[in-house]
Amino acid sequence: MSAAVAPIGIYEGLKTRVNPRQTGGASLSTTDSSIQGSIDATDVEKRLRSIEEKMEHLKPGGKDTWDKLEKLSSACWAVVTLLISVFVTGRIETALKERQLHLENVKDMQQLMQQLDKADAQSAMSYGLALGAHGRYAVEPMIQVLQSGIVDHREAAIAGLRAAAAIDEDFVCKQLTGVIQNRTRLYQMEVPESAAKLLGDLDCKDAARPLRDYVERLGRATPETAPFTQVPGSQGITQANIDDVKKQAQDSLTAVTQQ
Amino acid sequence: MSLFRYLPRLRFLGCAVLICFVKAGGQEPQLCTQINLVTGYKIVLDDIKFSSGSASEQDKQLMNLLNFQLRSRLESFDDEATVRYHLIRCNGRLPEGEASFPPLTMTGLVNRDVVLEIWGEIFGPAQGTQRVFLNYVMMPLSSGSVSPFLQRTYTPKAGSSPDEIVEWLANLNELSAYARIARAVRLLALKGPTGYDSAKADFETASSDLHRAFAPNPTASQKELLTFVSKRKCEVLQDARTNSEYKGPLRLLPDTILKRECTGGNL
Repeated sequence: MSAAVAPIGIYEGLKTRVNPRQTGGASLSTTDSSIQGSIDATDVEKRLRSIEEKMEHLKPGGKDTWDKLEKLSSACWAVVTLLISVFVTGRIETALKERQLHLENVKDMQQLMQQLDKADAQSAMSYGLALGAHGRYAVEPMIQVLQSGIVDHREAAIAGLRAAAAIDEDFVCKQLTGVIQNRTRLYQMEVPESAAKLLGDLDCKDAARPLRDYVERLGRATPETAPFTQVPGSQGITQANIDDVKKQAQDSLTAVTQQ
Repeated sequence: MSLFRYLPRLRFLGCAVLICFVKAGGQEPQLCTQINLVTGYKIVLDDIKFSSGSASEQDKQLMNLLNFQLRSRLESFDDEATVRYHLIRCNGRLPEGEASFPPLTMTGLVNRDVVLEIWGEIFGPAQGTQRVFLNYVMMPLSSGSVSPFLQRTYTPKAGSSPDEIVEWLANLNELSAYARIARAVRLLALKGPTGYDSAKADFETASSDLHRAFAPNPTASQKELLTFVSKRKCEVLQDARTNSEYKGPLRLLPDTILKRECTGGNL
């Protein structure tokens, strides 16, 4: 309340001081000068009021949103930095742990692989299953066992891949799909044949299209253009080989597409 | 005091256990990776256990001798290199009958052109003679109507010494007859009409050898095998006369001979 009264007091004082200057010291009659003086005073009063209003606006007011945000930003930045560092560290740690796990798996599997290499059909089966228990890490070694073409180890490799799929089915399906999609004749005939069979056995739904494409490709293939190489120790790829793989792929396609 | 008394016995037992472990660890692998390295029609010779037992040094020497003699004989059968047999010795391998040949294994062996696998055991000598048990598997017959597995027992009239038994085994016509049947079937599957001449010759020789081997009273499974051979040969002869892909001499086979071959006259 006093703040509202004070400017009027000042205004009164100013009025008496400002008046002569406003008139420019002109000679005005007492009556005129009193009227003139009152007009000038009102004008000046208005102007002063407006100045005061403007000054009032210029006075530093309360803190606005931006001020608050500015102060918060430093705190926010610290939190964001912390979160990012936690996230990145977590990712790095996970990657390192995964790599460590991979190495440990490889070490574990190395001995089993060496034993499998020398094993007869019966022992090979148990080594294959033990390897398959390593999940995704066993997939490539098992595919290589198939590729090596030792007759007594084929069942073991297939059993190993089935065991691996029990742990990491999506990964096994993806890798086996990669085998039938290969166009560089990387694998001998028994590898895609086994892969095609397993894709059906494991019910790899995503493999339906690759299987369909593979059946079509085999339908056009001849022994010279087959997408795989001959079985080791054989005299070459025969049309019967192509038909066998195609039949396997067709059976699996039927299995994965049926409702 | 009593512990010292038993010490030599304990030491002996310890040694025996150690020897058992060494022996078990030192067993040769039963894998036969050579199948993958040789191209052509293969005969797999597994272990034949002589009376002294498979692991003994004498048995190994006898198997080496048999391997050598059998290879010499089998590889001398054919002039043409493409149809020649290759004998693959699978050291330490002794299948346990049909159970050792699941479908995938059988298909794998057929794809590798393994036509015959043999293993067995020799008992005796008792009263001057030995009994020989041999197991045969004719791989390419696995997809046909006749069983690819055959078990045979022989009492060779040859002398009873191991060397004589080895020589008798190496010259066993029945063994080569099975190999011929299996090769003919595989050849037809691989080459079709272009293999007719060779297949016909194989069927004919095998049929003749088996008739002699199974005489005078062939068993039901033996009769079945003979009928199968005769039937396949007849199919070859009939198709050769009409198939445009075949250009060999069987095209001109007279009706009378064809009729004789296909009405069981050769049985």
